[in-house]
Amino acid sequence: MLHYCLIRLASLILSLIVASVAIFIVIEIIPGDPAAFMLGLNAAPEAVAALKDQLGLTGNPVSRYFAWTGGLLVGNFGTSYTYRVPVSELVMARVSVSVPLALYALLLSTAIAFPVGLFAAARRGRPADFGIMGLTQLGIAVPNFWFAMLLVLVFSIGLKWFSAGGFPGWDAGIIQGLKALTLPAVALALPQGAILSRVMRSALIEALSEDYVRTARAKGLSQRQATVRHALRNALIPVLTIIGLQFSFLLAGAIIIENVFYLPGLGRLIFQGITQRDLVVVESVVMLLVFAVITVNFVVDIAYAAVDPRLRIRR
Amino acid sequence: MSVLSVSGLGVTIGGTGILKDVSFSIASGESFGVVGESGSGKSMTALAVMGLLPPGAKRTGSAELGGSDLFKLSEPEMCRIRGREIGMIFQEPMTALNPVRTIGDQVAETLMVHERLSRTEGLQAAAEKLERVGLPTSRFPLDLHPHELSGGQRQRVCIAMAIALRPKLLIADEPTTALDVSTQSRILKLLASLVDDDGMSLMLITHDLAVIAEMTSSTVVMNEGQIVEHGRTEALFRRMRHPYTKKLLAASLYAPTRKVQGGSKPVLQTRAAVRDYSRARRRLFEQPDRVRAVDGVSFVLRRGESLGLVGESGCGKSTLARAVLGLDALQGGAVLVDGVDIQGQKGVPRLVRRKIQAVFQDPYGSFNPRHRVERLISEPFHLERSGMDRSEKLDRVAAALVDVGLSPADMQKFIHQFSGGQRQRIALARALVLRPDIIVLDEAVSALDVSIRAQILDLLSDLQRKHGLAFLFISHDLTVVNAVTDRVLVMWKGRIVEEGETKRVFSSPRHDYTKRLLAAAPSIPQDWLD
Repeated sequence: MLHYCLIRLASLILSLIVASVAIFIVIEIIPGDPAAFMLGLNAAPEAVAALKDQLGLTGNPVSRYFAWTGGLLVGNFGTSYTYRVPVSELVMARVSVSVPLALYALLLSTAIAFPVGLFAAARRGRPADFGIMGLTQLGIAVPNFWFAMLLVLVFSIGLKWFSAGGFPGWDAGIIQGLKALTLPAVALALPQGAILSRVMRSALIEALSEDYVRTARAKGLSQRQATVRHALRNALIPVLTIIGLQFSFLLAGAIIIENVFYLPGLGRLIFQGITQRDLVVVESVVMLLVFAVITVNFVVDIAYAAVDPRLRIRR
Repeated sequence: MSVLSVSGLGVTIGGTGILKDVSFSIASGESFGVVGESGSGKSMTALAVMGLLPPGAKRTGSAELGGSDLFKLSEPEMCRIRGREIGMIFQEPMTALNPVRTIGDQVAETLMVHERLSRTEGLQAAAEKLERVGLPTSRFPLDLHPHELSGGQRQRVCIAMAIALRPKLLIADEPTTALDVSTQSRILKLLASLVDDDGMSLMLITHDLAVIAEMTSSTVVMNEGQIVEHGRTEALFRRMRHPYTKKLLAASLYAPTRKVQGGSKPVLQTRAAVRDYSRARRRLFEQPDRVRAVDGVSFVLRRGESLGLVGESGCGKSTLARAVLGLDALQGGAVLVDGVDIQGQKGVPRLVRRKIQAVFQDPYGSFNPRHRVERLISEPFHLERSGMDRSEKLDRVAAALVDVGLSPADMQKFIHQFSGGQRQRIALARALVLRPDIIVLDEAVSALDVSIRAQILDLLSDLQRKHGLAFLFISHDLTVVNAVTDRVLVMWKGRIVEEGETKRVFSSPRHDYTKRLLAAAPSIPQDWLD
């Protein structure tokens, strides 16, 4: 198991190095002067030169790369050109919204998917199964921003249970913070939960037809016991894969929902960074997201091995 | 005193009759055999008794166990019977255990479900049960997972689960079919000793008449969902009243009439072939263990000859076959096809490759289900020297189909439209279509029922005569090898330990391992057949 973890960790570090080189090359090396781009078409050459100097774009690329990544390692992300504050400050404020929101949505979608998947798999081919699968189709088909607006109409404008948008900050209290994140989390979780339910169902159905489930029944376990104790854990591998992909998506891809609810999240930060041509922010935030996604994949890999002992052995 | 008495059992699935009027009773402490070919309803009978029929199946009749009719019990009541009163083991030990849970947990589960034991108590009891079936915790800790065990060891775990609560009846559905001869003999001995020591009854379901003869005191023969003959096993063999039983026995002992016709020209040779594998690493910077799967093997196969290759699983048979086919490179030695060394070349030259073809065990898994038979059989044509036009290809595919006893019209069908025996014929047609010199038959008849097997063996000997083919016949089934080969190689731990004329090796084996192997094979006592 330790061997497996070390191999995975090595692959994580390698992926990070490759990704950071790629990002660095795309933003700083490939022709197209970042400073000229940031200042626009009509900038005076002196201003561009001054900015280049300020951004540290003048030195040797290799030492610039190491300065950048070295900075990232100690939490120095550079200074935002438009906001004039350290990028790390901007990012920290946004991460404290985006990460809880992604986790919240993931928790909801998992909480939907497990019971729904189990229920549908147990009633495979019967009307209840068809009904549920039809609903999940609907869940996948409905765009989440439209669903988000529907939620706002009903729960904010109609029932007045939640505010329609904005985030009061965690200083206002955890309850207040969670409350502000509830509608966006539900809007994000619905399609994800629908996808996850379908994956859960089909993985379970496959596991239920395996010989070991029959063995378990022959031992005297009821169908329900055999499902929960034997089929469920074997069905987890594909479910974990999807959960990993969904978390990555929720972290960076919640941008539309963040806009609908006016939430200061990472997605919006990067969007603003791009529109304001603030390449310092873009470069660092993209790297941060890559780091998050690779880390999530690492965690999923470790979870695979925890679930399935056969994966702990590697040639 | 009977433990289980089934009467008038009928099963239908979606209106189709699967079982009809099946009645038998199993005495206390008795070993009871159920024999028949696939589809005869043997397993359905067992599943009906267990109440584990597939969804949509309906059963009638009664099955009395300990004074109550199992068919009238509710599902929770049946759950209390399964595992406690009746234990069951299945054919596929490789898949019968949950891959993600430890063997200790899985054995303990039987005890915990029925006895309300804690996990610690359950594991303690599981250790005893595993010791009972020959897996002491000193060598097989409870926290092993199924993939760390061999097939035979996994079947022992299944047996430990099934007998943990000393059930009155153990149903064993083809318990040794997936195992090699030596392992089969050890598992059968274990089952026999459990019956003797614990006074348990055994219902042994198998297609193998020799296993029935060795293990059981009474037997029923099933065909097409019905019992066609029943009685004391010995009397049943001596009498053989029912034509179906006669047919079954004849097919299982069948040997096609063929004469040794090996020419002198070697078509396939290996010289000191060596093939190593590296095992999984345990630590990061450790050198992985190397396993020598094939260790200095030399043999010669002559034109028109049948050469057998026998040995238990893991002895290197299949690795050798793969090397001979050029699928894996050797680390040492040489493989000569028609005098050309196929080692040391980058890939096997196509014109050499076409001389050697193969047929494998699984007649379904070796075909792409989305292609028509025409395309499946014409696949090897890419090995031919020049481009052929379509009509010539079609002619040759049709000829190959006729050769194996099918019709040219079968070309347009898909593989799922054929039975197991027909699929194996198609596999043969695919091997024949290039008119090769050599066909490697790797367990090619092992998955077939005895009557189908007899037909395929006949076909093989016809084709051999007609085309002067040389066969390398790899099998764990000694009866078949004895029946169809001229010479035989006995392989053990990667080496050829004995080689000689088949008749001689089977009648007077020289190497200890050959003797052990032959002794392990179940057989019907000769005087029962006279």
